[in-house]
Amino acid sequence: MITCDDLRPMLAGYVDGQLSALEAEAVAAHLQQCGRCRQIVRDQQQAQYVLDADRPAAVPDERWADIGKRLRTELEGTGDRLVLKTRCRIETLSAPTLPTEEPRPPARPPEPPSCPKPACRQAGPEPFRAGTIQPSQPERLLRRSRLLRPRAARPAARLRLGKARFAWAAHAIGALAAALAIAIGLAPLLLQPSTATQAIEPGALARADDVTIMDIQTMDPHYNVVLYAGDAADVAAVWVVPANR
Amino acid sequence: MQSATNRRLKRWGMAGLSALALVLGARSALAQAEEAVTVTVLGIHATTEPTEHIDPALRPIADELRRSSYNCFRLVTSATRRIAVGETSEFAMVEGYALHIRPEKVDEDSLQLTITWVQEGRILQRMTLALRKGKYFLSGGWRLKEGAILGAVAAQ
Repeated sequence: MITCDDLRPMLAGYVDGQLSALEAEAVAAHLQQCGRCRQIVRDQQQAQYVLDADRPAAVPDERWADIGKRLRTELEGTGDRLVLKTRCRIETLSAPTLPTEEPRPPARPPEPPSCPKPACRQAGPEPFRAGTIQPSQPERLLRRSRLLRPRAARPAARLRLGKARFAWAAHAIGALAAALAIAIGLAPLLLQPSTATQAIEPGALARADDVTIMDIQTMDPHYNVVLYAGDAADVAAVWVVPANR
Repeated sequence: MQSATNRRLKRWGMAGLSALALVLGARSALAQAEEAVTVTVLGIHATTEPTEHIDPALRPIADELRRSSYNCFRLVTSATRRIAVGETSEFAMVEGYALHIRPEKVDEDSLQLTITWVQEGRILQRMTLALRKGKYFLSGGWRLKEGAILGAVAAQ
């Protein structure tokens, strides 16, 4: 299943017609189902249209001699300052109409394939109309024109596709490593012998050499203490017997 | 791009720190568990009756019990707990008697214990001794309405 993230780097190429037939077919199929990508394609086509429409007219050959002469006089410090008309900045596009004189506006950009669902069609953007750009359009175009990726960057974009896939593998490996570290840390606790709280079998009473009594204090005066050790059985014990017995 | 790298670094850093904290916590818990000892206390009700009776669970130490002036021995309590070194645990017996056991020190093959006999909060006797691991130490002889209460303490 091709996702938007997979196709996003190819949208600019689709608008420019740079994709192979197979890729273009895949993108077109995706656009029929995805309103968001369709919107991106529309925006890029609009931006392309506006930029192409503002392209300055070609300079006639006979004017080049005049331009050269004026440049020379300007470099020498005399004569009028040469004003070269360059491609206008996009801010100047705030004019409500597009230039209609010299540069012939290119053909209306092809509409991306429309979604077959009626709901998608309603949710889609308004159709593009040449010459009726809203005043806020340049900013919007400028903002969205970031989506236009330089052609040289496209292979890198495809590489990013691979990196995204690798990122999942890296996450999985990281999670496994963390789980392993936790398991190693907890293993000694979990592998504690289960007999830890089992009763000690009453099979071995302490002998004299098993016990060293360091201190005895008997607070009850009604009892006498009997140290019971070192007899025949060699069992060590401390008994109390009533004093009045 | 930079912020994405930072986010990834932060995410991995947090995961690493969490794992480290878990491992250290487990190690700490393990170290604490190693400093605890397993203590078993048997409460024995000794009486004198016309016929001898020794609880089957006490048969292995019957010969030693017979040295006392009683001939019937019944196991009234048997409890095993893990007690951390330096902490006191109470093992209740009968008729208000109880044994307080406090492991003081753990050596390679023996433990130092403080054993305190109490009756309804009143200290009767306190002993500090070193006992070989796994060996039972007998003490008691405190009077009951009938007979006496003995205690056998072992630790490992």
